[in-house]
Amino acid sequence: MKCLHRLFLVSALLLISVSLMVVSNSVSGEIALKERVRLELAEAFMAVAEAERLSGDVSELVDELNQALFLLEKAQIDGDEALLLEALSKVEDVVAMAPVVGQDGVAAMQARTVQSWLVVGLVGALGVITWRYEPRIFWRLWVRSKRRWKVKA
Amino acid sequence: MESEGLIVDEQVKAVVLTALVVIGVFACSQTFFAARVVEPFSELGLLGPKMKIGDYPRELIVRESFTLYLYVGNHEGRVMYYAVLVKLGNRTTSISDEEPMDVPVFARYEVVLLDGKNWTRPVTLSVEEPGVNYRLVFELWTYNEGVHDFKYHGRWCQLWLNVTKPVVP
Repeated sequence: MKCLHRLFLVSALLLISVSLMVVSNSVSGEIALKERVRLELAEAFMAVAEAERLSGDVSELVDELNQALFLLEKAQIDGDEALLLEALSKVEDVVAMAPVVGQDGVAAMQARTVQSWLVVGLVGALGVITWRYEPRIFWRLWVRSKRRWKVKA
Repeated sequence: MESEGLIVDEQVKAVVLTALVVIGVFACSQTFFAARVVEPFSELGLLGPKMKIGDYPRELIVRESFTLYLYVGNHEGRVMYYAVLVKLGNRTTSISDEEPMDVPVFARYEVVLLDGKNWTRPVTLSVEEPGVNYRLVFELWTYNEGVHDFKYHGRWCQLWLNVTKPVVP
């Protein structure tokens, strides 16, 4: 009878310690996950800033980051780990997409530079043409417009 | 007659060339300097419950919820990661444009903003302890890529509050 009682006591203690361990593990797991989301958010922001420096259009990435921040805040209020995982997934997407957006920005910037030089070249060419032919055309048009004028002495 | 015509031709050429040079220089300067921000700055504002400047709560009861609107604007010329830290101080706790308030953080709100964009969001808060002349301070912090952490940006605003115990019948 005494042995049975002791066995019951040991099992109860074991059960309590196991459940405490499970609870503490899940809490520390959630804290670790939250910390990981925060670190990834910082990394994602730096990737976005770099993509922007390369003239990339980062508006969609910024939207994604803000959605992740919203999910993180909601997860902190509700204590929902699924929201944290969703936030992490969004942040990881941003980290993966940012270099691509940056490269697109570089390509767009090169295209803009070429376009700018073309405009400069065009303006120069127009200048030369104007320099060479404009007086002749101008006076021809002037003479044509005044053709019917009569001079009175 | 021929010589007069030539003189006018030269004048026309000179005027046209000058105009072209001015237009060309202006077009090039616009292309190269369009994105430059002369004086970068960030905005932090606090709006009342009706989303206007005014009607701020002054007298509250312990644990009474009140809603304010937080406004952050980015004119830094680049994307920014902002954090607004809410702190509860009193008449003696100090804060300046250089040093943030040295008390625990009451609430925290974060946002990433593109240049030229702003963000307004409701914040619902309540105070747990009764007290007179509480200062509810909102500080603007920005993520600093150099130190890999948030740094106080020197922008802050505050709301003075008196919090009383609920009347027990």
